[in-house]
Amino acid sequence: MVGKLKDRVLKDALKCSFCGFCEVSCPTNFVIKRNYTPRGRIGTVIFALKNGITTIESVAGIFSCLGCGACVEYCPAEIDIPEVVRNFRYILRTEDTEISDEVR
Amino acid sequence: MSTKKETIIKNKITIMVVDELRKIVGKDNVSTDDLLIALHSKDAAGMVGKGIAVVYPENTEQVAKIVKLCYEKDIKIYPQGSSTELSGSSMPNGGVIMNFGRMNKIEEINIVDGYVTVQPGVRFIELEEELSKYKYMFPIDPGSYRAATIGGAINTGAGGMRGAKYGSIVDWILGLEVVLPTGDIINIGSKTTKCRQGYNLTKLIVGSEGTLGIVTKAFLKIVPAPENIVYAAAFFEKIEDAMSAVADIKRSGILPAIMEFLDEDVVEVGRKIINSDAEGNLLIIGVECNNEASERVLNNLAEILKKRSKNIIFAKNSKEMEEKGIMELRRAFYPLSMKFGFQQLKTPTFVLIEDIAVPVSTLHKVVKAIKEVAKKYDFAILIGGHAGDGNIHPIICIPTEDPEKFEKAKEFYFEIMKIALKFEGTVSAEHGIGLLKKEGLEMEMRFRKSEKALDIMRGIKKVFDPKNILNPGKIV
Ligand SMILES: Cc1cc2nc3c(=O)[nH]c(=O)nc-3n(C[C@H](O)[C@H](O)[C@H](O)COP(=O)(O)OP(=O)(O)OC[C@H]3O[C@@H](n4cnc5c(N)ncnc54)[C@H](O)[C@@H]3O)c2cc1C
Ligand code: SF4
Ligand code: SF4
Repeated sequence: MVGKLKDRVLKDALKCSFCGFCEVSCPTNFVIKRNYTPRGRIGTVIFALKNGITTIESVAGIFSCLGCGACVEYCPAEIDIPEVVRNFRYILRTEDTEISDEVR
Repeated sequence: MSTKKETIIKNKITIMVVDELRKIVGKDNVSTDDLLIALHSKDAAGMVGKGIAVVYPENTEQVAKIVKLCYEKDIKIYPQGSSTELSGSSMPNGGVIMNFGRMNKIEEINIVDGYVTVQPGVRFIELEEELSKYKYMFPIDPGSYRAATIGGAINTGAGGMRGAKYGSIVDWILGLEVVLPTGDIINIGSKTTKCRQGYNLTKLIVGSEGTLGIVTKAFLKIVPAPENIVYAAAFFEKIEDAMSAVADIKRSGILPAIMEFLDEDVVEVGRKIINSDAEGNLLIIGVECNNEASERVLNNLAEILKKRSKNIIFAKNSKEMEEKGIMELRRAFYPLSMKFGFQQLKTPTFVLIEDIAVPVSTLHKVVKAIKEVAKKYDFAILIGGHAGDGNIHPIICIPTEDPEKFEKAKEFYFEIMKIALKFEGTVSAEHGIGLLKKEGLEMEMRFRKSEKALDIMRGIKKVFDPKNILNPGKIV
């Protein structure tokens, strides 16, 4: 089941053109580091699910999303960013890795 | 190939440099996290690079110290704003990524002298919001204005939606503070609109894509915002007719600030944004005027446009225009092409965006020629751009990870550049050369029998950056 969810989440995330239109609307953008922006969170999902890169710092970005949806209005690719993030959190929690131990 | 010993030495230098960087900017402003580096090594063109660390300086002195350190240790530096460039120009290749997210202050707004002083990480949207309080504007407004930074735009030589009247950013920079690759700080240009300071180094830095120096401060020319802008969005059956309408308007003596266009497929894929069932190739015209003249200007526009278009939407001011979503549709051209590719190819899409400029009077022929060539290839293609200054962006959508198609796309990309040269245009109007257009630049200079110009450019790079540490591998 998680496998299917992963495919769906990655498919959604891959619609991202990395345009950055979403960033200024995000309340956690002030951190400056890109993993704390909606674009960065979508990028985190892609790097994790496509390239197998997950780090503690990137996960911190994922878990700092407030789910407020302020970014969604500005995404021309119509990605439901908080939904992708929510699903990715679920994947992280259910995976059997060092990272998932950290976030559980 | 490095030997094992060389790799160990390299790693040791990296650890040492990162330690030194932490001393300069504080430990929170340096990261060696693999994923954070990866996020800063990806651009809007779909290019991917690699770096050893990301550093976020807070002021010019820190920038100078970092550069000096890297100069001494032979470490490459890659300056970066929002990485929304479309040519690979901000992509690192094994060095320190310097991001200006923490240098994002608007330092001074001087209405009487007509300039604003900004740090490089200020985004266009932030500057626009601040200037609007004074009823002023910075006339350059790239489609990416929500994300793009001033430092990035200066270095790509960006243009915007108002290019038809205001040109590109090179015309709007009064002066710059620049940290050279040796760590020296120079101030070039001035706060005055007139300045003859020997060779114009300010203009040389504009469009230099972070290869000559790091911009740490900019003095930008500002102007009063117009009292009003009236708009017409006309839909045309044939794209050539839309281009001919551009020439009609130019001939009429009207000087629109905005003359943007999108082909019918973009209109279709972005229909939700405009909430209208209008079909066809879209030309957007915006003319600045005072309130009293608004109706007359709209009538004049209607007269001209209705000769070739049966469906025209008018807006009496910017608010009305934004409500109709038409400018939003134009700004979303590039991201929408990803969606289009996805719909057409049913697989994740890689999008290559062209950036040629041709004389406006030839636009209708150029667009036709591009469509003709496209028939030879089996691509999903879209066309849009800044018609008012002859800058068009054909976009090719191909599946990601399909090397064969990618090679074909590159071939097509070159054919488009050749069309631009044939019609006395240029291969890059505003996105710059970066990695993707290096061969294109060479082709253009060969076509102009001016290869010597490339030697001069290489010489300039050497004078500024003798050790080739600043954004190496870009432009020439
Ligand atoms: C959807 C979309 C629409 C776009 N529309 C337009 C448009 O209408 N017009 C247009 O011109 N472009 C457009 N672009 C391209 C891009 O947004 C612009 O080129 C923009 O100016 C880049 O700004 P940035 O902050 O993202 O810079 P980056 O991409 O981070 O960097 C661009 C270049 O500048 C260098 N650089 C960055 N900061 C500095 C600095 N402080 N000192 C020295 N070098 C530096 C980098 O090394 C790189 O070479 C668009 C892109 C997208 C994704
Ligand atoms: S939903 Fe998350 S990513 Fe989007 S704006 Fe809110 S905090 Fe930022
Ligand atoms: S606005 Fe959408 S497409 Fe653009 S960077 Fe953000 S998530 Fe990606």
